[in-house]
Amino acid sequence: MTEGTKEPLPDSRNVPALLVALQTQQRSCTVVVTGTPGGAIHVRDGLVVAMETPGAPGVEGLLLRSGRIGEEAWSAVRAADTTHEHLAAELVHRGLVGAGELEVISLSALFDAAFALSLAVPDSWEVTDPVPTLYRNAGVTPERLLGEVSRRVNLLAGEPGSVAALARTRLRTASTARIPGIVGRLPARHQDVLATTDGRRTARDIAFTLGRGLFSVMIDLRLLLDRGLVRPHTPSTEQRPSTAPRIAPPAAAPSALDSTSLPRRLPGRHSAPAHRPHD
Amino acid sequence: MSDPVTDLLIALRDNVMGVTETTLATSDGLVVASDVNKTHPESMAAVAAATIALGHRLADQGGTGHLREISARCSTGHVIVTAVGERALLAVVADDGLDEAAFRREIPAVTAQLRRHLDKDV
Repeated sequence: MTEGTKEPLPDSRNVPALLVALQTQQRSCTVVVTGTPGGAIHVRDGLVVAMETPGAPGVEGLLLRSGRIGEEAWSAVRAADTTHEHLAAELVHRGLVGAGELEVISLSALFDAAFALSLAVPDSWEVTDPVPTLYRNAGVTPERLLGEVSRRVNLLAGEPGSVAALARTRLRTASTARIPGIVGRLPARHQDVLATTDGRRTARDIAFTLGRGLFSVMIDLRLLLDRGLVRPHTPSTEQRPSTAPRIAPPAAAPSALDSTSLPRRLPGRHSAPAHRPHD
Repeated sequence: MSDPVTDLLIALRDNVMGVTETTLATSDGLVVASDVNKTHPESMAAVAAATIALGHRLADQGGTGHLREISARCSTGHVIVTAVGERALLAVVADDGLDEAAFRREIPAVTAQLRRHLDKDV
């Protein structure tokens, strides 16, 4: 039924090029991206309105985790709109979130998801019919989206590739953070992040735990790293012992007939006990 | 410390975004191995064993064939219990951003590998 399906999409080299093509055609669709992480990009009338990815908390996660909306109220909203097309309007209508506030959350979740998706190379993508999603914004152009993503990457980047590496790193609290008075002087936001760095969580895991954006958590982590309060977690060295045969390394093997090597005991020789003076 | 079974649990957390804690337990609720931080593995093992037993009964009642997994979808995450052969089960705790596609891809191979390890036990 969508008018856009009549017009074939040009082969796109990458997702940004696809989004530009969708903007030109004013399409309403959902682009399903597979990868690690994958995600869904929701396009309405050519503009990107929402993105969902396991790499960054979505609007629902941000609202519920932070305690901004209770579970009961959220269930009621979902029950009131079974199509899930007008969830945002329902939230505002019930006075659970202000229209402006929801727009800010919706946009920041969109930019955050775009940032998370930009840290991985997608395996493939597919344009599907529009899937209902929770959003409240007028939509952003692919150019603005790319601009916001590169701004975030530039703010974090130390050297090329470091942002994706930071996102994958599991961090743990450094011993300096246990010195009395140091943590107490940090803003509450940094203290929360510090409390969740346990050597198991990546930046993304911390973002989900706290109900905050991935980018803002990464900015905090970069600052805590710079101050030496957190450091990358190195897996425990308490490994199972190796079952490899216990042999000397080949370099030290027989070729060396040097005088320092001990005489080799051969079977049948030196078997008789040597005479010892005190016997 | 690190044995192949625990390594498999850690690898699952590494490979699937959103997986936070895992407990491998016997069908009668005893812990075999765990990769946990917050959950209490003994309690998780006991509750998961009871859950999967009920799941088998549910599948019977529903006439819906063989039970694959039982999942508790909650406001800020999931707990998914999967049978590992007849003798064991795997309880996975995940956050609300669980990469379900990756989870569906990984879990059959992980349970098959766990099963091979456990089948060697006599």
